[in-house]
Amino acid sequence: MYQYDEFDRDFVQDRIGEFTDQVQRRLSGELTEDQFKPLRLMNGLYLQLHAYMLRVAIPYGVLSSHQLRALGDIADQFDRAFGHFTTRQNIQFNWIKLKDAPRILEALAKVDMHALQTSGNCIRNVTTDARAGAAPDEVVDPRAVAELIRQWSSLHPEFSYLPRKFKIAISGASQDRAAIRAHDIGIALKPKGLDLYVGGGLGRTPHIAPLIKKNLPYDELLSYLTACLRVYNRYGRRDNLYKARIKILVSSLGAEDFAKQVDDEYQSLDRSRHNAIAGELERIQSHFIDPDFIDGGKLSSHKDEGFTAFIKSNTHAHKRGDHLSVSISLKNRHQAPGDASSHQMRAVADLADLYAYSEIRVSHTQNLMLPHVPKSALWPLYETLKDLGLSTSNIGQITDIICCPGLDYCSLANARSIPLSEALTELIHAHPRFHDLGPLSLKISGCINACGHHHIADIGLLGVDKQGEEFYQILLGGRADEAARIGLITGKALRFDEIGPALTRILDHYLAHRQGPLETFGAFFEREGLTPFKEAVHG
Amino acid sequence: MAEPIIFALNTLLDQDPQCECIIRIEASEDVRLIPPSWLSSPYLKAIEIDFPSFRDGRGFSSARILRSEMNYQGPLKAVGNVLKDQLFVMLRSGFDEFALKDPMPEKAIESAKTRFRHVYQHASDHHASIAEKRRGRS
Repeated sequence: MYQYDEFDRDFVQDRIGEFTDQVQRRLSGELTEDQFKPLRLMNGLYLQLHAYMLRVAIPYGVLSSHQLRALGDIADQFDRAFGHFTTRQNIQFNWIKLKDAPRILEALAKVDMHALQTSGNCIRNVTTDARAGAAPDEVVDPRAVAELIRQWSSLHPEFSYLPRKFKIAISGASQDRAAIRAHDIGIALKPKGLDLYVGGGLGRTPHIAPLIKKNLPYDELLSYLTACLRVYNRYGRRDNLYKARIKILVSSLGAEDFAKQVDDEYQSLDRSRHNAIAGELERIQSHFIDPDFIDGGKLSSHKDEGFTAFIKSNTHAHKRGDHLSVSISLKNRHQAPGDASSHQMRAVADLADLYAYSEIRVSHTQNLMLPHVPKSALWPLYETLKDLGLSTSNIGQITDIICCPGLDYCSLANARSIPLSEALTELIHAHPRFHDLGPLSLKISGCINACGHHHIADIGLLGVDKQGEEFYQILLGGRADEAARIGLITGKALRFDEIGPALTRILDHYLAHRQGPLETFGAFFEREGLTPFKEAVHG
Repeated sequence: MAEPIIFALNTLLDQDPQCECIIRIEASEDVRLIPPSWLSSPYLKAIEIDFPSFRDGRGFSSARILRSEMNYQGPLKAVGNVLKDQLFVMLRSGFDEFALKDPMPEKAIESAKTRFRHVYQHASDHHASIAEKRRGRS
């Protein structure tokens, strides 16, 4: 993985110095909360319903074991002994004291981490495939390009006050596991060039990004991004918060006209001043080499029902036949989706050291992953995970719920998300016929900002406020992969306690009419369409 | 001596300036519309770019275009809502004068200039990028 040098370290230290000074000015009263707000937001510090929240960047979801251990220690020292992994592959600490923020940043810097640009109207943490460097269908490793963009976008002089936040996702495999077309810019890597999709996004007006540029040479990437961001910075709407994302600009101009404007800007740039200098991408690439793979051996032949289920749902093929990638589900009946205790963080770090070349990934589905695990290590790994309460075998299944923090934490939310995810998880557990539904995504957002990605789920739930009462809209048939599609609304929103029965009717309809267990929920929806589900939900 | 006259972009006629003047650019205006003869005129004393709110970052692109594409080398002043915490990115974008509401503006500018020892990007302040420094060292 990428190793900081003295320049990267100095940069983070200088940023901590700047932020510490800003916090001091707030604590001394020199700055009002109003004046402090944009400054703290540039460094991931939010004021939530009950406390400050600090969002820490995990660039493209890659963590070393000592970094994960440090996050566990921070959770103990400054929070309530847990942290929350997000759909942006980051981690949030929800119970921070303002005066502690500089000390937390110091603790992060000791393990080459920071909170730069995890909020604010700037270029946010670049996300990618959690299986980068491990998946057999990978064509180009996306991590080096992601790191190049991380460095280029850090305190960018022109693009730190954009109309709105800006999210970039990268995929380098034939299957898109980074939902790139649901981002402001999605980049698909191919051996000889990149394809750029621009203007995707969720929120109140969901858009799947159109293709804007095909086969861009790698060494032209930063120039083209500059052109794209410049057009957005100059012409994106600033009069209405809800129309300020780049998707609105792209859709109002039309993809073709937008592409032409970007191209004109691109032609007018002194590109040699904007592109990465020759050899820089290669220098970064040299950090992302394979670990010293050992002979991975074979899977244990233990006849254990739990182990068999774990292998089936939580392991993924690896580019080496004798290794696997292993997902660690953070979706169980005892914790909010994406939460991990400090004890669990340190224990996973230890497991990574023991069995997985000291590397961990955070997936955008709010789970952890050990990207490289020798097959022979799977049984002892599973046994330890089981003791830790981390062996839930539900990856990609209905209880692997993506869920925003909702009204329990977030000041924007209209409705609770976590209690709904808990109630639905209990419902699935209580009904054995729902235990083997195959791949099925369930995603919950507590408001229209769509942090829970409800638009791109087989089953999406959106919290809305109706005269002070929490209601939920049900969407069906969304997809996040290379055939990305926005889900369709089934009808009027339902009360909290009506969602469980409605979900039961949806699942029973699917079970009763599918063409055998191999027809996934997504394929079934494709074939049947929305109408029969509408009847199932609303009668 | 008379103060320079401030011209709005839409009042620049298709003729050269005849007296000392300043061009004022609003956030929504396109700096590329400044006639080249004005940019090179000895009468042009400065260009001002307005920041109607500190959140409005259009002026950063205007500054970058003026400096790097239109090769404007005269004084470039940020006016309107200019916060001292933004001086670092303003300096990097090519501004060199600031309508700053601060009791000690010189100190704030000096601190913004020295806060970061290294930067990742090329910009209009002629600092070498971190990538170039790495190359120089190896």
